Amino acid sequence: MNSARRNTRQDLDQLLTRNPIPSTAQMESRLDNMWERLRSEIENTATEHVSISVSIRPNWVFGKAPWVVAGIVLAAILVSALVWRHGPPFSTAFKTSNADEHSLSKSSSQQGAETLQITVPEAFELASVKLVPPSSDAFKMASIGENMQSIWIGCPGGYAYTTRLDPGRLTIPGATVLSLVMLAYGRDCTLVDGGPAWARSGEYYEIQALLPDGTPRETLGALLKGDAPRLQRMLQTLLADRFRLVLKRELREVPVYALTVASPGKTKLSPEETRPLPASFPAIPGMSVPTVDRGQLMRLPGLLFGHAVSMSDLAKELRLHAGRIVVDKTGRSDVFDVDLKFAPNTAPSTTATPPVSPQSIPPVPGAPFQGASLQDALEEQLGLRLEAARMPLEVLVIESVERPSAN
Amino acid sequence: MLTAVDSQRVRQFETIFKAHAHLMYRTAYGVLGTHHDAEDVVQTIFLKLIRQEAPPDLERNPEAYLYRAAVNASLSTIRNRRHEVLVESWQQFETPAPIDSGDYEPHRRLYEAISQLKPEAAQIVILRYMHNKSDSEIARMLGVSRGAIALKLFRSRMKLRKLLRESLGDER
Repeated sequence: MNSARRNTRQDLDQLLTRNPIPSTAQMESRLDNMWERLRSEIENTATEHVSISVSIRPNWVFGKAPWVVAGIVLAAILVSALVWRHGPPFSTAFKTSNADEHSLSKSSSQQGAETLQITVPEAFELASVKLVPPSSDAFKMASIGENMQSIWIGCPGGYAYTTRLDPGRLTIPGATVLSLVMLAYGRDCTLVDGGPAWARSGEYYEIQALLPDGTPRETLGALLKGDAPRLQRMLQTLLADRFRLVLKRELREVPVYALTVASPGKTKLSPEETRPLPASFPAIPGMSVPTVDRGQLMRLPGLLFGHAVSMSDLAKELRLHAGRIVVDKTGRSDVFDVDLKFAPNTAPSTTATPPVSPQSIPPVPGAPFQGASLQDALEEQLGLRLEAARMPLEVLVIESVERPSAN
Repeated sequence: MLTAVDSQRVRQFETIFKAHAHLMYRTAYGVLGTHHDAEDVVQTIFLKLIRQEAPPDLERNPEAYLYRAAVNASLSTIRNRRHEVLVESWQQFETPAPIDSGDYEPHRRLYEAISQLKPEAAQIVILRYMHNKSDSEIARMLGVSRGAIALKLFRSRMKLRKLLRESLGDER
């Protein structure tokens, strides 16, 4: 009994003193960028701030005392009215008091919810949607991004790569409607089907949107991960309002790859806070020795390098290289280092469910590593296996969409 | 074009930010384990300050105010996470930094337990164990007596032990 207590105490002490410490370089660079964003926010809100602080303080009319007296008088009137309406306190049966309290609290919470909806609407405060002209740099960037995505993940449309999220403002310089749907609903491109050709590829829109005051802060990373519900709903509203987008949800059997363990014990984890990147990776500005932090995974064609990544994150990364959604079926919850070399695939597919198996993907001529296919490399280097499978997943079908109305 | 008043406001915020953002960031990172979340916590706090009038507590003791805000926001993120179903895409991700043993799970469990403590108790626990502050340093920073710190730490440890046992029991 005593030793069990001692163990719990030791466990707690160990747990309390073991905390992740951010690398100084990462922290400094992030804080520097943050200060720049905050500085622009201060400059934007400076004048507003002054006007608000004047308007909410009516001290120039008269002091606080009359307001306090008025409040007391109003409260007295309300109490009298309640006594007149319901009789004196404690005269009603105790049995009903709980029910009354419940209904009161319920109605007040309902009122609270309504107020919240009114003050923070799930739509952008102001949004401009413009077709990107083919001669512009934004068009070229979007087009390159789309082609790269087609090669990497087997779908046209791609992602809004250069999206920026500043305090109070979302900027998407050039994205197809398909990209916007993927962003708004946090879906893989293979899980968005239908729609006219112009909505899926080659026609890019620039979105400039102001977020309403009081919008909870969500990061760009969260938005790209499909984990920024408020921003996503605002994008959904924009798509419905400006593009007249109508979607249908369908459950379909989708070809996927199941990631399983082929031979346990092949993964390792370095105890260091960071891992130096191999020389094949380009230099990172502001970092003398390029490194990856725990949880980071970097990629080059045919090369994945990461430190302390989870299996589910590796599965998401493998999606880029395998041509299908990869589902983690290993059952492993630990983290490990990744140093994977493989022949990069060149088998883009324009269908929503690419029928390419990893074995059939030919290596790129002149690629840095001609050896193993992705599947073989995974098995040899990490002891993992990709198995073709089918799984029921929800697919969004674009039923109708229109080119956007003028701003 | 910024007025002189606006420029002064920028300088004031810059002074506060440069002096305290590191402690806030380390706190949020220590609790949440990712740069992403830490950045989110610190930025949200400063954005609120920019958009509202400065609270009197901030003027009295900026370090205590901002540290408290960072702890409360980080623990609130942990509490909210319990109710969220995370939908992640393949695009960009950052997993929480694991602790020495390579396992993040016990750390998550610990901070879920800490998030159930009273805010002041959680602030004291984090100052002591994450930032290695002594009782007197904590007392000076949070404006409470040394005796109160020792007592709160003792009670918090008891409660944490109980919560952790319960959390392990739930799983079994």
